[in-house]
Amino acid sequence: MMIEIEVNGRKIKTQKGELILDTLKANGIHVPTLCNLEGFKPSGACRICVVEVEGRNDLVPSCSFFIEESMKIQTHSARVIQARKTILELLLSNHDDACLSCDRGRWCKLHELAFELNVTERKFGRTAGRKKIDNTSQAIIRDPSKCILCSRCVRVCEELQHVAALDFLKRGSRTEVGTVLDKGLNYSSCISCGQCIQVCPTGALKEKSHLDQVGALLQNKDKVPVAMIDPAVFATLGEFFGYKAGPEFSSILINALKRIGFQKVYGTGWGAEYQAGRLAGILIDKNPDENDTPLIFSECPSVVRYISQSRPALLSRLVPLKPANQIMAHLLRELTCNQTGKSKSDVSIVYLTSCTASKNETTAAMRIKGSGFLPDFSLTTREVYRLIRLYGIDVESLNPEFQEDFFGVGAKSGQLGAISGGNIEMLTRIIQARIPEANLSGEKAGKLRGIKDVKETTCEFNGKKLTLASISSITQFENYYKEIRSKHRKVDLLEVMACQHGCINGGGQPCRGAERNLRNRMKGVLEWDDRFSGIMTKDHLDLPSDLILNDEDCQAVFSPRQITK
Amino acid sequence: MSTEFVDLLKKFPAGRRENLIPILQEFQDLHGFIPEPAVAAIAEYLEIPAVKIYSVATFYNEFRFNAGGRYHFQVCQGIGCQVDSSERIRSELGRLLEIEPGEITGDGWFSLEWVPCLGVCQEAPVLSVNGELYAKMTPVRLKELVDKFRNR
Repeated sequence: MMIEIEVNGRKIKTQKGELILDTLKANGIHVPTLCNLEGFKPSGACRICVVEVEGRNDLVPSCSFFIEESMKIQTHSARVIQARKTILELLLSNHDDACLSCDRGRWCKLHELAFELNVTERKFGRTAGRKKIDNTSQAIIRDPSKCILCSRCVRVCEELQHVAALDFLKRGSRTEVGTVLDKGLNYSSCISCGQCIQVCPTGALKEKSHLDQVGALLQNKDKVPVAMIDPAVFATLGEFFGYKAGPEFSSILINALKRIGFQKVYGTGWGAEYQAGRLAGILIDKNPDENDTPLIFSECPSVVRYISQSRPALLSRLVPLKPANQIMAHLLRELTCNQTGKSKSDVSIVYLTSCTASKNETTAAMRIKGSGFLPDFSLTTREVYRLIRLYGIDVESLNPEFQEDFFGVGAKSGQLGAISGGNIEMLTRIIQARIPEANLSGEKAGKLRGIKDVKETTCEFNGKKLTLASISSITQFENYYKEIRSKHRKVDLLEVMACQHGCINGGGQPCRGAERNLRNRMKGVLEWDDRFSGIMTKDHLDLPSDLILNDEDCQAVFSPRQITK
Repeated sequence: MSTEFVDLLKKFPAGRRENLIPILQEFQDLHGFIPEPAVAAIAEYLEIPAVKIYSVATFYNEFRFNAGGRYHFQVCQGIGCQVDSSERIRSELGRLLEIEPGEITGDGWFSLEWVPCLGVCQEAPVLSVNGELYAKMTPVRLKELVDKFRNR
């Protein structure tokens, strides 16, 4: 029902029962928020979004109050501004002052708000001491001293990812966000997806940095540093420099990395295509009625971790293929050894990725020498930006340069691996290339593209009909899995990605502006795909004779993981 | 899961989260504290994330995760006791036992904890030792009390 309300003396038409904050936003009135998280239930924890409603004695939080008929709202009265200022001063009283050395830098929402509300001094003394930093995880570091208890990480972890590694502990002034038994993230159910970093308004959550190690590597003359770039980084990094996502910035990035000191720069797209080719082989040979449970295909380390600790029964249904980055790391190491004559231990593969969970794997590589399939280091998109800044590269002055030719075949469809549904699209193309008479329903209809939680398609060939689906975020996976089980629907292959809409929304991406830029990132990936026409041939997976990958090399082994659950 | 845990959990219907606090109380009554493996067992039985159980248990001062001493001192820090200078009792007790709240003495005899209101404000300041109340405490009576337990 449309009703009329008054905001700051102006009449506004709105829907009864809408949240005040949504109405204000739709009418271009900016009210600051900290704990509010789009698409989630309001929590009303921080109260920075308070507004004055005529006839009420108290100020109301606009994020969790509904519009009522003939409401008169003041969003920026003196009383409201003073209240917001005091709230922020109170939040800052126990916040760590280490802004100069905080890696959140100018992306800190708290800092921005302090500027906005003209808070220029510390008004209230500190009542809590410094808290212990949780650095048990190899991917994510948590500094509770910087936490303002907004609950965004807690909500994302539970509602979006179904992981619930974090929650509020204790009570009152001693409340803090922590893990089970206070043992740290590594002992909790954390899957290192990094979505908590994405939503954190301060620097309380960050990735474990490999910048120092990579810096040392680049200075070491005996080593051959090789960069391997994930498509999601190609699609996003330009945001930092004001470039549009897509092929244009990608070639500038390659030039920048070479100037920094990487001897070779490759994309990982080829590996994604190669593994999709192997997956197609498995599907073509697959007997359609052998098992009710879908085969689960995931290149995502977070998904594998989730399944191995929370759903070990599904481990046997995971397609036992190594992820693309491991295949690429192995091949690039071999290839660089052949080209430069250096030994394997002198070649270091640096994986530039949007994934925080890949840090878990690279750290394993740092410990186990000679585990040839793992990259040596991994840098998130944010770290790559800092690396470019560190080496003083003026991106605008650089000419585009193309990535190293990989056996004469650049990645074509491989870029699609960065978006949810992309691997399935690659797969259907390969099936089409191998079996020209196959009947595919999805690709042309755009069923596998766009911002959707569930992407389904069918594929008919050799007298069998396969249903292929793609899911992103763990909660969606759980819901979808339950749904197909209860309805006895048959799904043959399920692609799962832990981050919503795929790696382009990964935990290592820029902390701000994901909502705004997601479509652009997706477009960037698809534009790249269009430019390289995306055609796959039957024999493009052939490797030169000195770089043979046999079945065993490509296989992955999964085992259950015990945690304090 | 150990059979002891199973026996305890069996008294409650599975998957019903409203039974969390009674279950935690049973564990605490049985062991004097909540053993760490119990958290995982309860989580599995009630089908809620383990961190939620830890969150609830740390919310209430009643629950503890480490064994107390032979004599577990709980000093009231309710408003009534604070008005009647429970602060003096707290600092005196810390001095006598040489431990901080939440700690246990090296010999395992005494442990110390600040708790919210014990509900006998008319007798303030109060403390409880192993559940037994001691009212109208003074530093002198406190020393007598500690000595009494030491010589037992």
